Amino acid sequence: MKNVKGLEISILHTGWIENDKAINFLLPKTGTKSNPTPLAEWWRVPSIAVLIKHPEAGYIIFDGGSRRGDEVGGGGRSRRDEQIAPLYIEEDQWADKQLEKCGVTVQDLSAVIISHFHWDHIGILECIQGTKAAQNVYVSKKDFGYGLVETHIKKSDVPTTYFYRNFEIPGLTYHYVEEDMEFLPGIEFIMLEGHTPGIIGLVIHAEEQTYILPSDAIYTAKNYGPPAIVPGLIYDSLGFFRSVEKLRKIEKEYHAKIIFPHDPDQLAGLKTAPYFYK
Amino acid sequence: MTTMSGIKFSIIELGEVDNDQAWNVTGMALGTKDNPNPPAVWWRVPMIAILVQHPEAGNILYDSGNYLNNNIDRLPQALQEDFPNLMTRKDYLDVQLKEKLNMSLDEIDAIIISHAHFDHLGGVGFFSGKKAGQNVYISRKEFETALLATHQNPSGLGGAYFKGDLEFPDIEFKLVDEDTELFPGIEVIHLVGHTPATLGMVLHCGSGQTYIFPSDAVYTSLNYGPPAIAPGLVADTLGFSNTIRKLNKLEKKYNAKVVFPHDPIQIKQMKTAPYFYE
Repeated sequence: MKNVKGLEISILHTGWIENDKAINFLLPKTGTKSNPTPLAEWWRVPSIAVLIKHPEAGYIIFDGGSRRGDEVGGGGRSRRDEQIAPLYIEEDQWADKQLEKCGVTVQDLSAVIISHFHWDHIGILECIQGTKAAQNVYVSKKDFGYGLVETHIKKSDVPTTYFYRNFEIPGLTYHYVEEDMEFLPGIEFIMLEGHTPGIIGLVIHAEEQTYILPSDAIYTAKNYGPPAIVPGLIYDSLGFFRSVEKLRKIEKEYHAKIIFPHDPDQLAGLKTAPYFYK
Repeated sequence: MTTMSGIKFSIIELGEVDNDQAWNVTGMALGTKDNPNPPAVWWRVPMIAILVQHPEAGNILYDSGNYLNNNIDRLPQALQEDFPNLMTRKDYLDVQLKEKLNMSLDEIDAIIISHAHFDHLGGVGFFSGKKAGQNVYISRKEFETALLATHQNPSGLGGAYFKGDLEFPDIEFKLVDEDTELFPGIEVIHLVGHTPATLGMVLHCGSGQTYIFPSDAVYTSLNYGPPAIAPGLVADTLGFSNTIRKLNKLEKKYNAKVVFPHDPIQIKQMKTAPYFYE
């Protein structure tokens, strides 16, 4: 696939999540005979969304940060949930505010792509009611279906992942993505297993560089390796390794740059909104 | 399924091992917002084998523990750091059979190996040239996995597979391709997760009671749940979930009791050799 003139992306920094490192990396520091009880490591990872500027389709957002109320003290999440992965966010870090940083409003969005329906990726959805984008929400059928089932067995939340209310945001029309496909000229959907039954990753052939957005299929550069390190929070560990291999092939073919979704080190070296990468 | 009058079994304790609990059960000492750096939990778990007495097939061992000197210098030092083996000479299978059951190695007729990790397969080394050594049942898939892992490089070690355990002299393996009734009242079932194919045993005892031995597919009652909790040491997390479902179904069907392989809590509630469950 060819790079597309006028295709650009901007990285939206949508707050910080703190959690035990063992969630991102399986058994990061186990006890041993000589050091049987090492302390857990607590760290802070960014949450990001990506704004895509497409020469024909206009603005599209990939993932949407968290919902108002899901931050620490906001009351949106259970106490236990907030204990495991507290969200810290500045007022200008909500996804819609990040768009404004780029001079874009939700009215300007032509579509929303949600990689997977975990709570920290869908925040923008409550901001787009009545807009064009509300008719064009792209989700993974496998992930969305799985999340629906788990939250609708008895109308409840799956701790730290799928929340019932996030599936009931009014006024949205979803498009179910089932397999790898070209979404628009220069933008490919790739299905990635592991973190959930099926995440939508993006391959974006921007004007000067191909970018891969694996979303939570690969949390950080360290998970990607080599050697690949499976996260502690994982739906399908073998699927994770298959996703890594799939991404390596694409990375090689296009000399692509991968932007990881929860990587504090990588984000420190990237320019965020309103800057656009070509 | 055949209920065979006269089938009974005894639980043989084969020493203990210390390790980080997270290998067995993930998330038990996870940091939280209020307590971000809890210490790892270092705990002690038993190792066991099962002796089945069958009216037709004779004395059948399910698993065999470690081979001589696994607690001293047969295995690499790195393993001793992560999983210090607390066995003494008397904790090996040959001594335990003699001391607890007054049984010699020659009186064993067959061995069923749940999986080829060193703490389950090693004891087969006691049966070189003996009757039971010519009747060692193992899953074909597990056998292939272990051979591939131990023949990839000169170390002869692949994870918890040890080349020497697969190549004792005068041993003959019998490969199991699918779930089957090996002897009347003794079923073996394939369980995915801990390894690609761990053989669990379903034992329909003379009293009418059915016992299920999942071996390391489910380390402890904590893993079994509900809710099921994946181990840190697991090859296939999705497979683990499927295994729990498979076991739930069998447990319900037969009103069975599940006997876990490395459960420091359950072992205290069970009677061990010389006691026989009938």
